[in-house]
Amino acid sequence: MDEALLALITSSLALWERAGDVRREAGGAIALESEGHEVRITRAAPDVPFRWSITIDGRARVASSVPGLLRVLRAGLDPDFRPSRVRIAPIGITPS
Amino acid sequence: MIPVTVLTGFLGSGKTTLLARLLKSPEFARTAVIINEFGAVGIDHDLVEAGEESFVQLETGCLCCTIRGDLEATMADLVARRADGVVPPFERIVIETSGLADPAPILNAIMSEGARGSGLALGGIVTTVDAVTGLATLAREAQSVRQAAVADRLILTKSDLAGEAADLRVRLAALNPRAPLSEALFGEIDAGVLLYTEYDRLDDFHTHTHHVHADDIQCIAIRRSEPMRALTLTLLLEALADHCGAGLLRLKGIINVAEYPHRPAIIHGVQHIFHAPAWLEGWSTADHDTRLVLIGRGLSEAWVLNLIAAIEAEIAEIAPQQAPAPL
Repeated sequence: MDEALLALITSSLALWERAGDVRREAGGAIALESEGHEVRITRAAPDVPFRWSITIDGRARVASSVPGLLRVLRAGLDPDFRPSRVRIAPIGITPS
Repeated sequence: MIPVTVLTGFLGSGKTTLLARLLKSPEFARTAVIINEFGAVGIDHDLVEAGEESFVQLETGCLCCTIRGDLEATMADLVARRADGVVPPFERIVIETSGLADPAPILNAIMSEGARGSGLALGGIVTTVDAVTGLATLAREAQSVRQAAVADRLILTKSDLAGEAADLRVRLAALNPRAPLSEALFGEIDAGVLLYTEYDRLDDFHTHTHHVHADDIQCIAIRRSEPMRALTLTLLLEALADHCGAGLLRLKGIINVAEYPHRPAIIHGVQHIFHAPAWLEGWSTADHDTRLVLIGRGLSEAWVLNLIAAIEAEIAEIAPQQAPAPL
């Protein structure tokens, strides 16, 4: 998971055309510096109803999935980012 | 399902001429045609003579600029009148767009819940390109680039006047490497090229990961042999909607969903709108790989692959022992 997430965040910066540096810290957190912003991503405690804790310039946010984490991260780095207002329903849709 | 084929192409690229010829071929008997013209007074529909079993309906105004509900309502009305016996029992619909139309809203209308509920499904997108003026049009008109980029098939018209049109062919191949290019010589073309379906093209997907760009439009093709969990697909589409959004001209795919390995799911998306999967009865070949094609601006193959990997890793972490059982 950690390696996959590190690779995703690194390629996300490129996709979003944001300069920056991503690295993994000794404790497993991901640290990111991008255009004056400082970000730290850690796993949330096991007893809370979300999976990720994201601190951007000292402000703490949470996310419950990888797409949620990306949304929070990009919103923190890019003030012009407007996430899609559409939320995809889980594909519980079954073949008829 | 009634297939709906979109015939698009820039102004003067020969759509109406092509359609008029096609409607005279036996393959296009029982076709309902919706012609969209820009402006209050239509002319194109007078140039198209339909046979006894086919008919033409005119829509004025630019489809992509008016609420897409107009097109949805027109299609639903056609289906209702067909059921009532008011119009001939057509077997397909062809929509000829105005030359200025952005294809995205039209595709969204065809793939909407309302259209699906009326028994309609996207049959394919055919884009005409003028062999004489096409290169200059692509350089000048952003809409013509979008029309070519989303095509399932490109048709070079007036090639009898333009010779080889080598530069244009190179440009089109770079712009949309997965769309086969046919020629309409003196307006004539094999009618069969318009009758194939979306699924045929995905079924014929033979390349591995493929990534080409021309100008700033990219085409990414991803193939994977491992089935994809339904939740992975859901989260993938959500992230694509967030981060590719308006840049995603088109997404199409055939998915081997782990929970339903015998029922391939066809997915479509245009910009940030994704439609509920259409489930096929079964695989038509021994190739059960998942195949995804994304066409648009600002895309990254590495990002999509990393995204899928991270989502799968997260799901595996959350529910390692909950491997999806085939239903």
